[in-house]
Amino acid sequence: MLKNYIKIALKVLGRRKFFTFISLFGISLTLVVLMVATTVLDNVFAPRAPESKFDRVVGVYRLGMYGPNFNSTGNPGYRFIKEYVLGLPGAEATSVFSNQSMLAMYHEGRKIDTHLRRTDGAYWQILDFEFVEGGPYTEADNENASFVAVITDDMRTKLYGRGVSALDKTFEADGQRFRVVGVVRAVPITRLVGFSEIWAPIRTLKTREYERQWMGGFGGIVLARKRGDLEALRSEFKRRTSAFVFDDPKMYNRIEAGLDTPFESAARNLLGNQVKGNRALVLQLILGGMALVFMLLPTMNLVSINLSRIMERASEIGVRKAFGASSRTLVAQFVVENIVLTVIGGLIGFVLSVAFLAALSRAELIPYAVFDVNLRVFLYGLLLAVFFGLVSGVYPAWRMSRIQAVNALRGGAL
Amino acid sequence: MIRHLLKLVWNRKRANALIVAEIFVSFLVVFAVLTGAVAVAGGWGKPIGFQWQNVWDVSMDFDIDGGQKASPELHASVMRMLDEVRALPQVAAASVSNTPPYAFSTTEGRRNINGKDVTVIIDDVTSGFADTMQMKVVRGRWFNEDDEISQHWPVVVDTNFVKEVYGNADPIGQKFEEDENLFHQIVGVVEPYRKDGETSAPMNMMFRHVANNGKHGRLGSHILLRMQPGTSPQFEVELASRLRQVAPEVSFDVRQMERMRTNMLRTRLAPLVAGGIVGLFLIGMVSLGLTGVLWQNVTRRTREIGLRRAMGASGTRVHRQILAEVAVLATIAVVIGSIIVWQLPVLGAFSFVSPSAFTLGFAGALATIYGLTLLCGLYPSWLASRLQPADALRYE
Repeated sequence: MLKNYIKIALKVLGRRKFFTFISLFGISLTLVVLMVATTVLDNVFAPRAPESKFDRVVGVYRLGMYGPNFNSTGNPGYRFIKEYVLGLPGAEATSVFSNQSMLAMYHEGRKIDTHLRRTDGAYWQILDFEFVEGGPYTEADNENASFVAVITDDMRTKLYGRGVSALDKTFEADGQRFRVVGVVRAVPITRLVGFSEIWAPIRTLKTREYERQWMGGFGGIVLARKRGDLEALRSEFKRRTSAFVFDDPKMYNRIEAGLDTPFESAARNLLGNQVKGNRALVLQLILGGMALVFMLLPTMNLVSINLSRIMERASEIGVRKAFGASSRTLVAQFVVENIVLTVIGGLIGFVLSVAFLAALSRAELIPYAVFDVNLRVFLYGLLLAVFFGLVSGVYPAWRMSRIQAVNALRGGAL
Repeated sequence: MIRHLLKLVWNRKRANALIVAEIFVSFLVVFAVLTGAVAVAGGWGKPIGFQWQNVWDVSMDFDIDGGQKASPELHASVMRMLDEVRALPQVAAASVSNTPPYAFSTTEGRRNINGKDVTVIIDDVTSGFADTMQMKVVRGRWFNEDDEISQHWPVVVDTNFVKEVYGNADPIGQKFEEDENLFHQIVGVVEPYRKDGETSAPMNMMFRHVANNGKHGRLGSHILLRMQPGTSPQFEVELASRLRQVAPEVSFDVRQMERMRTNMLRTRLAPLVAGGIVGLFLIGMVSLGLTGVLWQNVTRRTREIGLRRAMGASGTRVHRQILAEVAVLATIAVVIGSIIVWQLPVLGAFSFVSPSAFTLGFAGALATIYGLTLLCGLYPSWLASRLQPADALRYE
């Protein structure tokens, strides 16, 4: 039966080429836009190397301090991470790191614009970088303020030339001379914790001023032993920070911080601390709502085209009804036809998306980002296509099933 | 005539409702994209209140907490760096700033001044800022040595601020409270300043003075330098090493404002370009769909059209009838759309867009929608006008 429906569907598609073209054009381009958006989101938020353990990592990326006259929100300071995140009971590992700061290096008379992030030793255990040569520095290097650094392969090419080993070579950044101990594969700029081009120990900072600061410039992450531990870690953090002692209660008397996944952190940034409750869910609903609104026009378009098509086939439907086909059979047939159409459109859209994303990666609009369509995104796309087909097929099919056989056979008004 | 058309449209209300809904949503999309584009394009030509050419930015790596002051040591280091760059022959002027143009940082505050609640954008600058950014003072004066020892905290504001707070009254010498027992005094007024340049909406700007001696003011983390025209980019290397000599404890990065500007424009325009492309694609798809549906309608009404022709209506009149029906559909959609769109200013949802941009965007959307729907109707109605009455009447 299903085979028959699909056969009919393909025949119908070939009959009215203009309509088929409009439908496929709309479906495939809509899916291209949605799939490109999904891929970009997946690239930013899904656990991918070097953040592949991030399905069980949460972090503090933003801190809000509130008082009667001043409000201050931004990245937490080193002191906050050290006292409230490092060594959180129940965690497998904890780490503190600075934001990547923009840096102009002057190497052999050339200017190189780059990014530098300072980290502790545990950072290298929680994140899994792919080392091209050498290895990470350790917590002992950090304690001793050794001037050692890890750089990306891209940075190695810029500094020393293509394919030249960088181990034990030195470079000067911000007036300090570092020795290269490891080279890693370049990281996309979209990675919240993993991105940088040069990494060096925190203790190599020029002053120890940062140790006094509650606010500014740092972040901290916590690795749970298993995913189920995350809730316990969050409540432990909440318990710890509820006992926060304020330096000057007249200035600040309330803080707002939480252990977030990268997506929750984006939700906190976009929606602000004022939005209480499940911010991640709110952001998901907003994104989903935007996708639905975007799909509204193509869906309406498809519905009206489908309606037109059905009217054309009135006599066929009349014959089938006269021979005893039930409404339900007709609805099923038409919905299957429509899903065949949307899946074909979806496949075209998928091919176009892959091509577009490859072009986007090559254009290097987003440094080091490689937008590849993985199985997860492909499944999302397929799901969207089927959803699209169902939504745009059901109403026309219902209208079709209500056609009076007598009128339809006469070819008159429906 | 119009009543007759409405009747025709009403008779096929089910099929037409979908078309109307599609045109309605398209109208909203076109309106949103056009209004955004007009708002940006309108701001593009207007003066921004400063000159970014040949400005370099030494961006220092320190954060000072909201209400706190910089430590005396840090303040001294930054002032040493400022003195050092001002002595260089390549540097025409230099100043400390906290939130310079194109730097993706903004200080915004709500103040009650002169009985009015206003939102002000704030930058904290030293006396050299007007020369560095080449700003024009229209009233009073820019900061000078007298301000170093002023008992109040001197500020310079822009004309937008004055218009909003003082109207036509003279703002020079006016005082307002910043904090308990701490008063600002306006010493000068500059031309409207748009902090982030071409893509900035109009703002009320206030520059707070930073005293070199640390008496008042909040130390910023940028040193801006106006370079002599023709300074080689290679000079950055020497600049950086000199600054490191006088302040080895400060981390910094040297950038050219031209690059910061390109970066900001790209970031601000990208959503508009993406929205435009998506909007264009949606509209293209709807136009194709509309053409298809109208075509189908004409085929289905072959007998009706044949009857009209047989009764003596010319091809042109049939042509006109079909187009008029499309126009009626578009009008219904546009009227509903307009009712919704004109609620936006009432709700204050579009407050960041000037009324003229709003009106232009609206007019543009009207023109686009009517133009497109008529274009879509053109081919199907031409087909209808070519039907031969004899064939049409026989049509099954």
